[in-house]
Amino acid sequence: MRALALLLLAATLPASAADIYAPGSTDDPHLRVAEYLSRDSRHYSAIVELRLIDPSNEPQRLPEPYRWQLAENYLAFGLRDRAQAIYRQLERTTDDRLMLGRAQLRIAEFEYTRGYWAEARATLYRMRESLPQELVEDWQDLLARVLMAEKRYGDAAEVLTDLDNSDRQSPYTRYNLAVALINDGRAPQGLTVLDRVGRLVPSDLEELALRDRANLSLGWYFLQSQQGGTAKPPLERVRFEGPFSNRALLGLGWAELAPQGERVSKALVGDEPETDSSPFTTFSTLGVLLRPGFVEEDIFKRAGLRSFRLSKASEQEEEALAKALVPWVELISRDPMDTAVQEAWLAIPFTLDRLGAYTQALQYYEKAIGVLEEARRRMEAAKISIRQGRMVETIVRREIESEAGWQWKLLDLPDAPETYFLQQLLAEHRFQEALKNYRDTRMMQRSLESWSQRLSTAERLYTASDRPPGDATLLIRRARSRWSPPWAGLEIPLRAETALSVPGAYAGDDPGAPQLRPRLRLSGAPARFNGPAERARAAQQRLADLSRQLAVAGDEQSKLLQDMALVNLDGQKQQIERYLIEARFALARLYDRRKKGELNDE
Amino acid sequence: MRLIRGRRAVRPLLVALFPLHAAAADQAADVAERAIRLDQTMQALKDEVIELTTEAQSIENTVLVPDHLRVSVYLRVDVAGLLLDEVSVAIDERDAESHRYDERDARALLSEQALQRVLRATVGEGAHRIRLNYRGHYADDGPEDPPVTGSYEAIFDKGDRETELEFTISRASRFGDELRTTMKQWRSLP
Repeated sequence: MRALALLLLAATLPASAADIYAPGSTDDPHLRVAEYLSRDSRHYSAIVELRLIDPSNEPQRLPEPYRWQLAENYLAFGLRDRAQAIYRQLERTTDDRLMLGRAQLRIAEFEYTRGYWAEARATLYRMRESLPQELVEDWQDLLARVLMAEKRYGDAAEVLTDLDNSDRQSPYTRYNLAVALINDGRAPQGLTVLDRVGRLVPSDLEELALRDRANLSLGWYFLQSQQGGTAKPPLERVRFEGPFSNRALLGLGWAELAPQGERVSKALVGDEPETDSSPFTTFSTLGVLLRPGFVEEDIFKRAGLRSFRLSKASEQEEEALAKALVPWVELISRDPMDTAVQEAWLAIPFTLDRLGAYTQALQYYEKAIGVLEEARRRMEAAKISIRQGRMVETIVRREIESEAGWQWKLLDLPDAPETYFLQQLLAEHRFQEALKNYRDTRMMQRSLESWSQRLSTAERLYTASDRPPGDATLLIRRARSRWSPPWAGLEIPLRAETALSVPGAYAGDDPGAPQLRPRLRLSGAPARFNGPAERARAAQQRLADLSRQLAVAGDEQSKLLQDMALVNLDGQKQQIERYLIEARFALARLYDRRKKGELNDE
Repeated sequence: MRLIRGRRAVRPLLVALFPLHAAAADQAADVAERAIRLDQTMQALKDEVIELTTEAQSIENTVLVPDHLRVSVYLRVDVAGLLLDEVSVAIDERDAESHRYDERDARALLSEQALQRVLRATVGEGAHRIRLNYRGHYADDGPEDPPVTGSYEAIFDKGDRETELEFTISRASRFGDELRTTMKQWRSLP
């Protein structure tokens, strides 16, 4: 039994035995309560706890620990300006450059995620001079992301390469470097970096996902560049089951259909180890891409779909077509709401048509149309659901009391029709940050509702007629015990008097002098009291105003989320419509050819 | 932490590889602008809500737990891995006030310097008895392991200003399993 019962009947602990703390110091229990609340992601409560230590709201007058704690909670709750003001003060006083650097990085991260890219860039450039060595890689990573968000890919690549510290950069940073290089027109170098990320030995699930993503990007890049054969090895490295597996399977099918091409040497980035043990030293290319896949916007650009053959394919092509069917047949057994799966539904009949299996091709096109029409129906249902705000409401309602603010994380998704279609949007900063703000309006509205009741209770209790009257003697005694004379601590210098009076010559005040007695009269009642009841009434008024403003802001925030989702869904719906047109067109062509007797199904 | 960084880090490629149509790009820019404007509004509103809540809390404290009657009881856990399930505090013969923990707030209490306010009450000047009970478990305990329990009782002297008492649960010795609870009284500089 490990249960321990330590029952101590301690001696009386007199009030005088108390340890003394300075408000806002590390000993201050209120500051430590704020630390607990902060660790518990209750940043709103932590700020209120801290502000009660400093009613005048002049944090610069309190010790540094207080200011750090307050700024951290302000930022966590999404109050960047407040936090920034305190960090600026701390810059002038603190010796802890590392802590300051981390704080500035958090500010810049906030600015980046909330879309204040110019401010984020300014914050990061500003801290460059005093950047502690320990934070260099984090700084580089964030600055590169900011620059890439601004589409300044060349600058981003520069930031990530000019310190020659590739060995200390994370795989995520390397991935971003690849993206920056490719978008800056330095594709060969970018592909080399991407290939290295695609070959990393993952240490956790996140790195595994990153590896998959790198390989998928690499594979599709080659497909889009009409180097289908080169696309195969990276696409094969993507896991069979995972967030990127469907697109990889789709790409693998198309890669099978591509003919051979010329070999391209891998470009040097300039940070290669002396001996590259990697067996993958060249990008062998296979040739022309038949269909660029689901990212292609114009279906008529897809050469493979344009030219339906009347005869069977050549033996070599037949083999490739049969191989392409393998990943696609697997793919159509998966969720038909996935765009890659939808494209596979079209790719299979296209391949069957090329193989001369026209009857099967017809059947598959008809099935594809059914699948796509169902996807379109579900998309419509999702749009209706979005307009009703159900998904967002479900997300928000789950953790309505959470005070995590900017630190809040969306950990799981609600079971709503639109959830599936919006997975990618839900993971993006612009949606998540807007969602956090919307959630915060709801949390604050609830908090104000609760405070309205509590203030009414406080006012009622304070103004209750049965409340015992105050004991004036007690109040004076208490005030005296806390009062310290304004001259306390004042040092009065004494000096030796050189001209003393004759002893006995001083007889005190002149007894004949008139006595000064101030005339007292009863004062009138003060025009305005500001006791607890009056303060409670004033607070109730402010509270009502603020509740209205929060409701308006909440509605706007909800509308913003809706619009983001609808724009996203419209894009996806257009894609489904394009597939449907493609399927119907191909089906009509097949029927037409059969009617003309051009089909000889084998 | 890393998960988020990873997600953030990889997002740009989607933008890069799948460029938006012009109309969609305009819509996206409009949405981004609205998001920033709303964020600024939200910052202003949050600021006001905090001002108001601080004032409301101050009013409530003044009325319900005035300084001269107030006793604040805090708890600190200085035992690595000890996750509290429940704590109760009682003063004199009053009913105990209990707090139940979930995993998250029990872990928050383990952070260095963290202190939880477990009770705020009013009592008159003079001597009072206070009793604290707790029950918890170690993070690596199995379902069959018995709970870790403890209690502490003491008498404190209430003066004419706020009394602040800190209970600390810690190890009785550096290498032993035995736990002990101590109490300390704090007072703010005027």
